[in-house]
Amino acid sequence: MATRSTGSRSARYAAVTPLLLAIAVSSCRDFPTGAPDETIVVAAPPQFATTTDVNLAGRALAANCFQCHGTNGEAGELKIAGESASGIISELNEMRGKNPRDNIMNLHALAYTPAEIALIADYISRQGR
Amino acid sequence: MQRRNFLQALGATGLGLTAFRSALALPTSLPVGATGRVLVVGGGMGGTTVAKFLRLWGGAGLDVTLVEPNATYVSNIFSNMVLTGERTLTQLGFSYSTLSSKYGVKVVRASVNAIDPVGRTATLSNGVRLSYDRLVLSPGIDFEPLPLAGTTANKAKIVHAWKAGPQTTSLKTQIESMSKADTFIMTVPPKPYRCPPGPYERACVVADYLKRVKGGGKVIILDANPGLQAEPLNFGRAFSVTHKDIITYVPNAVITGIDADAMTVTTNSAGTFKGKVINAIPTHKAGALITDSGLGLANAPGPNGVAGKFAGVDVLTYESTAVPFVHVLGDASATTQPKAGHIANAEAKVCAAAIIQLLSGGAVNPTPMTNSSCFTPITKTTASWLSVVFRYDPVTRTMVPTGNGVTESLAATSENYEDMLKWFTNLMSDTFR
Repeated sequence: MATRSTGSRSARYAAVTPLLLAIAVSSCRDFPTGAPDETIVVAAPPQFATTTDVNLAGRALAANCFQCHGTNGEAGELKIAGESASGIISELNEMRGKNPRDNIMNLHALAYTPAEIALIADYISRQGR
Repeated sequence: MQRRNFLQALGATGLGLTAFRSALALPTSLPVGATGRVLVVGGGMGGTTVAKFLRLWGGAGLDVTLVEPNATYVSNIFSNMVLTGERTLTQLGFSYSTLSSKYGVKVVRASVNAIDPVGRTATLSNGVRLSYDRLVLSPGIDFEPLPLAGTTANKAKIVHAWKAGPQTTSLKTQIESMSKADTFIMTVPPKPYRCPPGPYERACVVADYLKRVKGGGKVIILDANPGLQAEPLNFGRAFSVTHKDIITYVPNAVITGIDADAMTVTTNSAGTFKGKVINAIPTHKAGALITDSGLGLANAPGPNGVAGKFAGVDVLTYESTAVPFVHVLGDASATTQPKAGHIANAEAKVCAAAIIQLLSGGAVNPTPMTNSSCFTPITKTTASWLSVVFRYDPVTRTMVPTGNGVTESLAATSENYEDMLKWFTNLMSDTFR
C-alpha cells in the first residue's frame, strides 16, 4: 500500500473543522490555489467555484443540503442560496428544538454541531449571487 | 497577459467560454489547481454525481470521462409508481446532456471490458483504451441466480423489476392483468440490498392499486430477513391498518424454490405460496466489474469489506482498500451506509472532493458527513420518510449515524407526499443537471 497517497491528509482540514464561524470563514479557504489571473477568475462560468471564495469544510457539509435544496442551494423550489448566514443559523437552531420525526429538517438540523451549522450557513449564504 | 488577451478575443467571437474549455480542456483557463484524468464508469446516481462535482469543484484542469452504455438513465426511485400507472418510465428518464454541455464531462457510450491497475488503463467495449490517474467505478448491483424452475416462457414472467426498465414494464402488465381474487407475491432478499424500504413501498403501492382499481386482491411479502428492514413503525402501520385486508407480511421466509409453471414459491420455514404474479427480488451482489474483474475488489480488507460480494473502500475517499487509484461508489461498495440513490449522491460528493485534493496535493477531509433520505409512497396520496445523517468515526473508520440516528416520519401524510415530489425533482437535478 505504499502507493496510496492519502498519508498526508488532514493537515489543512484539521486546522479548520473545530473553529467557529468568525475565524473559520477567513481560515478555511484551503484549496490549493494556482494563483489565478484575476481576469480569468471573473470570466469563469458561474457554475465553477473559484479558489478565492471556497469554504472547503463548509462546502463539504453543505453538499448534504444540495439533494433537496439544489446544487449550491439553488433549487427552484426549496431554494436557500443567498439567505443570510444568521437567518440560516437561527432557523436550524429552532428546528433542533423540535421533534425530529415531525419534519425531516428537524432531524437534519440535529445532526450537526453549532460550529458545523455555522460553516454550512456561511457557505450557503455566499451562493446564488 | 497573452492569455488574457486571447480569452478576451475569444469572448468577442461569441464562442462560449464553457464550450471552449470543454473542447480544449485548457488546464490553465480555470482557477483551480487540480489536474489529471479521472475515468468514471457507470452513469447512475453515484457515477453521474461524481463526474459532475469533479468538474464543478475541480474545474477544467480535470479531464473527466464518464463511460456508460445507455443513452438515458432510468430512475429506480419512483419506479414503483410506474407499476401502478402513477408515473411512466419515460418520465423517469434522465440524459447526460447537461453533464457534457454545462460541466464539460466527456460522455462515452460504452462499457469497460478490462482494467489494468498497474498501467492504470481501462479498455472499453469499443476497443478504445483510456488511461487514468483515478478510476471511479459505480456499476450498481447485480443479482445471484434464483432457484427457478419451469419452461423458458414461464420463467421469463418471474421478474425482479429492481432495475427500472423492461422488467418494470413486464411487472406492470402482469399486475394490470390481476383481478380482485388474485395474489401478488413478492420476495425480499437478505440484506444488504438496494433501497431498504423499497420492497415494502412496492407492496404498499401495489396493494393501494389493487384496492383502488381492482376492488381488492392479496399481496404476500416473503421476507428473507427476520423483520422489516426499514421504517418498522410506518410499514407496520401500513400492513396492519392502511392495507390490512390486502397485505400479509411473512418474515424469515428464505426462498428455496420458485416453480414458474405452477406459479408457486416455496420457503424454508413458512411453506409454499401460490400467486397470479411472482415478483422475486434475488440476493444482491456488486456489479460484475467489482466481482468479476479479477482485481480482488470484492475481497478488500478493512472495516467496510464484505467478502466476495461488494467492494471494501476507505470511506474518506471511496478508494478501494484492495486496489490503489481505484474508487468504488454507491451500491457496489461495502460500507455501513445503505444502498440507495440519495446516499450514492452524497458518497459521490465526498469522493469527488477527495479526488480533487489527492490530485492537487491537498489534504483530504478527515471528517466527512453524508446523509441518506428517502420518501416512500404508502398510498396514491400519502408518503412517509426515512432519513439518517452519517459522520465519519476515526476509531472504526466507518460512517456512523449521528444526531437522532436512523429516523422515520411520525406518519404517512399528504404533506410528506408533496415533499416527496420536491425531493425527487431536486435530487435528480443535483445529480444530472
